[in-house]
Amino acid sequence: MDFNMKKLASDAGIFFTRAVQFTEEKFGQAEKTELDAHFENLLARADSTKNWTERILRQTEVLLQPNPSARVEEFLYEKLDRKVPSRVTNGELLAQYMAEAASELGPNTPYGKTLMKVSEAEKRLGAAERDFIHTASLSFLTPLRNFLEGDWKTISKERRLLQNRRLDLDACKARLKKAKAAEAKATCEGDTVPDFQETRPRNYILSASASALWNDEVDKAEQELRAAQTEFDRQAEVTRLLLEGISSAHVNHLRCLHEFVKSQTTYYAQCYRHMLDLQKQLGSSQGAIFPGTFVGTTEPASPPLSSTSPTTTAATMPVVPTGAGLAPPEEAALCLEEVAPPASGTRKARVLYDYEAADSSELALLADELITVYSLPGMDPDWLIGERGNKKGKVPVTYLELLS
Amino acid sequence: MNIMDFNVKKLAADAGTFLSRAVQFTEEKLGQAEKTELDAHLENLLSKAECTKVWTEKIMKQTEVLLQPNPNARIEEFVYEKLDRKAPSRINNPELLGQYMIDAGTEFGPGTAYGNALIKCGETQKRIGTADRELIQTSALNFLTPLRNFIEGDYKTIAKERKLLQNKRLDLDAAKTRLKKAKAAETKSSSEQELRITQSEFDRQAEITRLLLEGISSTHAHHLRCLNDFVEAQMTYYAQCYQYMLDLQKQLGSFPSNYVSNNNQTSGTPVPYTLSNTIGPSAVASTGSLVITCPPNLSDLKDSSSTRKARVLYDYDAANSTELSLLADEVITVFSVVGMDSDWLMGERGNQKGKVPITYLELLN
Repeated sequence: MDFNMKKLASDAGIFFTRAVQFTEEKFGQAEKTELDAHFENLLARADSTKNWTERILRQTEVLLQPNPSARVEEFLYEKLDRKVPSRVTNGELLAQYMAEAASELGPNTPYGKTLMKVSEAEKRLGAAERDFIHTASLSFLTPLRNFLEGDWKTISKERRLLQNRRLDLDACKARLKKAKAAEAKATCEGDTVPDFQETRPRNYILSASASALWNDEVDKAEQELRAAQTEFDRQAEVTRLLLEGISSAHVNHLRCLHEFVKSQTTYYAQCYRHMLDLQKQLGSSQGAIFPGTFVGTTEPASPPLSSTSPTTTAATMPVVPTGAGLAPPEEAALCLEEVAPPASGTRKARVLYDYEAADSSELALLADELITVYSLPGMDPDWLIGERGNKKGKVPVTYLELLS
Repeated sequence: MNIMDFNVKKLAADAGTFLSRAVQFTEEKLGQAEKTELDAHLENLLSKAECTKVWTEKIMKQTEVLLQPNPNARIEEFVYEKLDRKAPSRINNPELLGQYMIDAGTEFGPGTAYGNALIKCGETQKRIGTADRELIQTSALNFLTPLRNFIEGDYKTIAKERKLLQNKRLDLDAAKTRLKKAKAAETKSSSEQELRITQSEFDRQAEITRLLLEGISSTHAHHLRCLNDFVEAQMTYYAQCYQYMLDLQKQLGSFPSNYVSNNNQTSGTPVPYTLSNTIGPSAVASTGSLVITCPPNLSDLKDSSSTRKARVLYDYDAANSTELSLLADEVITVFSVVGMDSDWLMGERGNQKGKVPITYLELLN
């Protein structure tokens, strides 16, 4: 009980002393030991490293998993110390939908076949993405997180200790100064006392004892100061060594950055290869697909018209233009496609609604007409350049249905 | 007064028609009335159109998710679209990461190895962000918009005509039922005439619907071209990003020389001298862990292609003979095996080899 009480009182005293010192510093009533410039630089560098490492870590996490709900879910699993279930990536889900769509729409039709091939490629892209996320997390995010939760915490702890040591040191300095002032004052009083004849014996005794008392106080304060200075110097050295370790942290992070770059390069290289394979597959079947598609589209169109009875023809009059309207643009587009392959960059578009040009830089449009369009670098993404014969001008994208 | 009569008369007629259809529909459900079956070809066309609509919608939705995985951003874009306003150009994730890396590199010092590498990586991430934005824009324009136009345009027309066809068929079957029930000759003649009229209307509507449904083939051809455009956009995106990463790796290729430079700087630190003089036991442990994380030899870095060094963070007892026991703070060689659980790696210590949990390791080189 005595031990605990004594220790508690001692700690309270120390805490109080530090608080007093800190407060007096804020009010400018006490001197503060300044750290040397090199040390201050190290501290600033450590803070900077910590802040930016944290930001880069967070943003890389967002890059790898843009869905905040999924990130929250992963965080919870991590806290619960359970393994995160392997989630299907967006690319893989799209691939699955395309594959199922192909099965239902007919795997032997041109559209179905292409959907199947694209589905395979998307699945591979999804798998590559998953690998990339896993590798990047392992080689880049984990080391950064370990630094923040390990080394940085150690540095923070030692910095706090250093702050406490400095407060103790400055408190001792303040105490010593007060003791010396008191001693000097006591000495002066001792010198003046002998002048009073009638009270000489008693005053002499008092002044002597006071002087001795203050002398002891000064000695004690000096001793405490030396101890505090030693503690402070040692703590400063420890902290400085830890802070200089930031250089090796930078080297380590540099290596992790290289790993991240490598995994990202691997990811894009894989995706690029998958897309090349897909284009080869689509290119090889392109020639076979188009004539079939064209013939298939044209053939059913003619029989229904000829088979229409005279009675139905008259009644159907208002609707026939709509039905006929569907085929000609497609047919025209297909013919154009075969006769003159589209120039690189330009393409055909069908106008959906009438549009009046607002100024001379725009092109007026009529519903259902076909025009050639292309985009220019730096142009507003809502507009394209449209051409009709010799006329040229800006056209709004929302009024068009791109064809070829 | 005439206007009033006209309105009331029309209202009564419509109500009568509606009632007839409802009665016919109910009797069909209860099995008390015959139902005119559509021919097999038309049924096939209808199911094909339905199938096309369903899958087009799913593919469109999932492509949107693929291009913009953040649901909050998708909702925001949807709201802007409904308000008929242009969505503000948002910095995407790679661009933001690039910005952070560049700022961090600038603050760490462009002259330092890490700062320099960060700035280069940051610039590349920004370019990838630009490519990402272009992919989204091109895919939305060439792939998503046509699919959406089909669902909101052509398919709506088909759905409307299908509904009309359904109504005509109900009228036809109601007329047939009425004819069957007719007794008097005069009533029978009237019913027969009505039947002919409804039959003609039904046939006409069936023809119209069939023509629209056969347009699905051209829709497929159109979607096929859009799909090719999407593939091309993705191709362009990955080719660009791959090129950017190759360029970046070339720029960072000078890593070994920087590494040597840092190694010299590290070896210059007077750690051994000060350690023995002033640092206490706990400080030695803390500093020791930092010292141990100092970079290994350059030869190790060069030699290891698929293997790498790892420092053990905590003790680990092997649960079976396929695992390797670990001691905290030791350094082992690890590599990954194809098909292995992603939480484990193969670890080697001298002749001993076994599985090790990733969470117990800190990968080094």
